[in-house]
Amino acid sequence: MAGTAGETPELIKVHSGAVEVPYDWHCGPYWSRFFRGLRDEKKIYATKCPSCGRVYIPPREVCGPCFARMDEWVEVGPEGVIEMFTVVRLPYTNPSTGEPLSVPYTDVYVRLDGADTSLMHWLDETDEKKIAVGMRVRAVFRDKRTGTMHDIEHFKLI
Amino acid sequence: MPRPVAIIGCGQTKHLSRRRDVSQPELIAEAAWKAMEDANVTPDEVDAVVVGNMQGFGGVAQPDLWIGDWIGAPGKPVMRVTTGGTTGGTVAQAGYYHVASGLHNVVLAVAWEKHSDSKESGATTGLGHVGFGAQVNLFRCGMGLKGFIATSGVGMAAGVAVYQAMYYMHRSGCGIEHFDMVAAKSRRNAAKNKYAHLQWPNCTPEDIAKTEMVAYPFRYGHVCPASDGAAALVFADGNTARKRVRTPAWVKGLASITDEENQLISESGGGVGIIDSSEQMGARVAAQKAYKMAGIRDPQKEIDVAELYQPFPNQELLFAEKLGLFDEGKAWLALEKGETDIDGRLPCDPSGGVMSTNAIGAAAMLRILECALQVMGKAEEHQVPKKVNIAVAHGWGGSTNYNTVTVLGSSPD
Repeated sequence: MAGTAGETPELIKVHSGAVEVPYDWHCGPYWSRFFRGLRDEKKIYATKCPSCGRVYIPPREVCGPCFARMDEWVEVGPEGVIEMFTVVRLPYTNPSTGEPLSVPYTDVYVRLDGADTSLMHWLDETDEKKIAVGMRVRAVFRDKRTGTMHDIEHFKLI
Repeated sequence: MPRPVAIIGCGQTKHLSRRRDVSQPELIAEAAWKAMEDANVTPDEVDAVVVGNMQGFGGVAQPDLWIGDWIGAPGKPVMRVTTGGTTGGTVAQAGYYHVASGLHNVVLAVAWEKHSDSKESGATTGLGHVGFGAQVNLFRCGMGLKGFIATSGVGMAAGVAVYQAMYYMHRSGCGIEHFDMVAAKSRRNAAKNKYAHLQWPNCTPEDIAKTEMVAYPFRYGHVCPASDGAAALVFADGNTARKRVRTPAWVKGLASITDEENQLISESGGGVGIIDSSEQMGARVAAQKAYKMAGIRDPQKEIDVAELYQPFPNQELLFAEKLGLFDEGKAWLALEKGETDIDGRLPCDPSGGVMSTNAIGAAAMLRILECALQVMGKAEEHQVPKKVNIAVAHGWGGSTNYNTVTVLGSSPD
């Protein structure tokens, strides 16, 4: 459609610049209580399903399989086991901040003691030979906490 | 019962990292026109159009505003559908519903992606476009030229699939060498498909094993590209289908299931893995429903070819199991025996799959399109060397929880 025989006519590009997308996430009562627990008490709170007993971390209002409202709060962790991990070696931009992430770093899924779902976070060990599924870990809290997921700085092997 | 519906025309563009030779509507039109020509219908004869791409990708929030008159749709009913990575599968299924309902006789379904026009940071897709948008940061992080070129070629980071791969390895007992085998097979098959993006004739697992580790257990060679491209299908009712083409690809069964059980946000947002992300019960349930509708009792025996949505190699294995093509945790044993090769007992992704061509909005439609080509006997060099009576196409995406399964066959009965 665009090409013709012989000389190729110049194809024009019109440039439009960067777009900012300001965004606030209003966490609602369940996540807010979870974040307040991290910030004010260094404790990790979860919700328990009254029907199947499953404990959700992070907490939420509805248990999907049971379609039941959860209003029982339980404390889980701060220790747990590694359920899965990866060591990221390719540098890329942190989509939350626009800043580069320094590599290597380790992502883990942690199944906190007392929880039935896992939490994705960072581990302070970057040699994959020293990490295994099933190892026990403990949450390390920051001294200065602001009510975000990163009030837990990372998990460490114990 | 819905009335019989068939795919009577297929159109796709050449897929590349950058289709800078065309604008987004021109790219879409290329596929749409090819499909209408293939179906032997004119734009006037198309009753309605369904379109879709991944929301916000390509830098355009509402492409539906300006593509209508490029694909024969002015003044006709148009529906836009967008379900993340599964978009192409959902667009095709919506095309089917338009005809099966009896409201329309001929419907054009078009899906596409033109990544290269935008620099969106696809945090969940983690593909090459992230690299282009962030190249300054990459160099600040100390990435060398070799790594940068590799990133440009084969994509970036690992998104959610890396955890899914770890779960699958842990559960099934397969190793990284099996991911090398899937990747090499995909590149080899893609070399037979003139529309495919990453083509590598005679690629071996050893070639893939030499590529650098991105995030354990994925190497560069395991990662899909970000492609520009478009796909289109023409759906028709039974009477029209028989009149227009010699071998329609009949839609025998379909289902679309979402599964809440593997929600991920990414480590920087404090993500959640509610359960094992390789469980994918949505795929299993969708397959069971689609097979029931298609009258398939034993998918391991009755299905001749499968196109699975596999941007990463573990996904071909685990989704083949979820679709019932192999027993749980056993797909890698069939892979070792060559059963999933293009000339094997149950070829998987003879097109080269999403591993080789990933225009996200189009990718799940391309699985259905490839199955249609296989049923019609029009897949040219990547036609499997046996009679194809039943083919199954799978789509995966949404965030990580949306599955489509579509069964095509050589006869409507």
